[in-house]
Amino acid sequence: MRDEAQNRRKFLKACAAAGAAGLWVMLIPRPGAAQRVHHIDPTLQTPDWMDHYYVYVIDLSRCIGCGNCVRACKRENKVSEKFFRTWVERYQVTDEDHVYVESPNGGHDGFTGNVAHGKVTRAFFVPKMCNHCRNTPCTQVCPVHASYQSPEGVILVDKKRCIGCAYCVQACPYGSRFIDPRTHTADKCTWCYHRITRGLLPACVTVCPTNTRRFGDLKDEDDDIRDLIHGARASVLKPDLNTEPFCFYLGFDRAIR
Amino acid sequence: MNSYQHLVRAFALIAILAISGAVARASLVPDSFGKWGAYRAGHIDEERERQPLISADDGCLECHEKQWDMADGKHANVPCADCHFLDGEHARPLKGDQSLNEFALAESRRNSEMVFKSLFAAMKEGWDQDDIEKLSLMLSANEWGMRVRVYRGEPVIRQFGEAIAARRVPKGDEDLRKALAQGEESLKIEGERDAEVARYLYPLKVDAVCLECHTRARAGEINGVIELVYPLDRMKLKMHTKLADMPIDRSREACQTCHRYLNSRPEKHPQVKDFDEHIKKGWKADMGPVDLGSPCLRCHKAHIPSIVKKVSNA
Repeated sequence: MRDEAQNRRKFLKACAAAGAAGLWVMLIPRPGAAQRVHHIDPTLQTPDWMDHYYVYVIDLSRCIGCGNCVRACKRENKVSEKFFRTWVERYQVTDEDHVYVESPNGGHDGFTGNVAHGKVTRAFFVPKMCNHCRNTPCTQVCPVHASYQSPEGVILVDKKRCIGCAYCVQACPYGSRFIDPRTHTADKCTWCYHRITRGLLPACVTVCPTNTRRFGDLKDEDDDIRDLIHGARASVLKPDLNTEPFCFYLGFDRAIR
Repeated sequence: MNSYQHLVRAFALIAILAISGAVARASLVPDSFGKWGAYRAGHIDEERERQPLISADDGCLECHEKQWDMADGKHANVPCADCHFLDGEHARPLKGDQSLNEFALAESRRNSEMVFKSLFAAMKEGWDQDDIEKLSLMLSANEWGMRVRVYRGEPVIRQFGEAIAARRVPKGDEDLRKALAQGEESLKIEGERDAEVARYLYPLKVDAVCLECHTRARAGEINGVIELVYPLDRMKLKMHTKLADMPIDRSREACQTCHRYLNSRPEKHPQVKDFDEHIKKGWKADMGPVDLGSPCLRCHKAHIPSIVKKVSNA
């Protein structure tokens, strides 16, 4: 019995010593550990990455609801049928403050008729899309890091990583994500990342006939968009959620949700 | 010693788990993961490599400078891509004549060669410059308004004397001087919009055939310059037949970009009753209430006051 007890004590001592040693080992900084943190190592940058931070501005008082942007987006990004990366909503507010919102086929074919009951006192179109938030709810919930924010502030989805769990679709408060039925992965607006990195404008901005949609680079000192953002009384969608969207709206209305 | 076997077993288990974990991680996590942040860095490159489809107007301007100026007025702010759905196919330059300038240049060269052939025939008959002046006047009396003039070059002046007054080089005409001195071909489009003329200078370089009569000229010198001046309208017409080959969407769909509401309730908009007729006539006086940005607002101001204000300010 005594031998056994002594052995057990020895064993426990050895275990404690090994555990303590293990703790000390964990304190030694390991190479590569810093990289795993979300900060980006400046030495790893491709040259132009840190020179841009993109921003999108929508002037609601200019939109005529033609649906050009929706069609252009479909063509440019080959968006799945019945789904939209960007869409246009029509708001009709009556004198009794009832708000009627519709977006037939995402505004792809324009708007016809009148859905409101009662006397419409104001009506306007609201183009919507991914807001490319700085504080993104959607990327935070992605279990496989398929959804992420590029260094320029664009939220992208890596379709090869995406497992189609649709957490992000639920997490997005703006409804700008959907599961593409062809690939069974999440899909969303990329601000036409392949265009903007070539110095082009996103497809929707390119085709807008009334200059409702504007796109710019906050880090470009000559870009008019800086003055617009800082000078105009721009609002964002659902500011109470603290998502810090980088898609600003001019001529906002209290009825917009 | 027996008790240490527990320790060995435990560490062996941990080691196996750690190794299998490491192997699994290495096989499951993509190579470029974590390079820029907590995502697969390769995806950014994949996303960047996608080719743009919708063309920006700047791209059109490169070749279609003239069309750019023509597309003025009500459609000034409408991007090209709205009607000319420019995708990958369209962005390719057309074969051969890409722009009005190139088109005009090719046309001018052809005409100049014709003029030269007439001149050559006349010269062989031994016509002097008065006769050639008459010939150029005759050539100028054509129904599409092309004016032909022939200027005498240095070698010809050496041999046959100064040019007559009507064919002297006007002072300050740099293009003509350059064409005569250095043999520089030039095509310039001048004049007001809708009344533009093209001025083309075709230098006649001396070659073996010329030397048979122009004995005092040397090969490579400039015997003279043929000047063609003609209105551009004709060119534009030809250019448009070229453009017609391009897949321009002039169908209902394209027009509805802005004129959607007029079509959506035709019974309320009698002015656009016959749509096809309307297209044939062109977008002119019978357009009805059309104004860029406010197709509906001319009549329906009451509904959307904020837009009206903005549009009238813009």
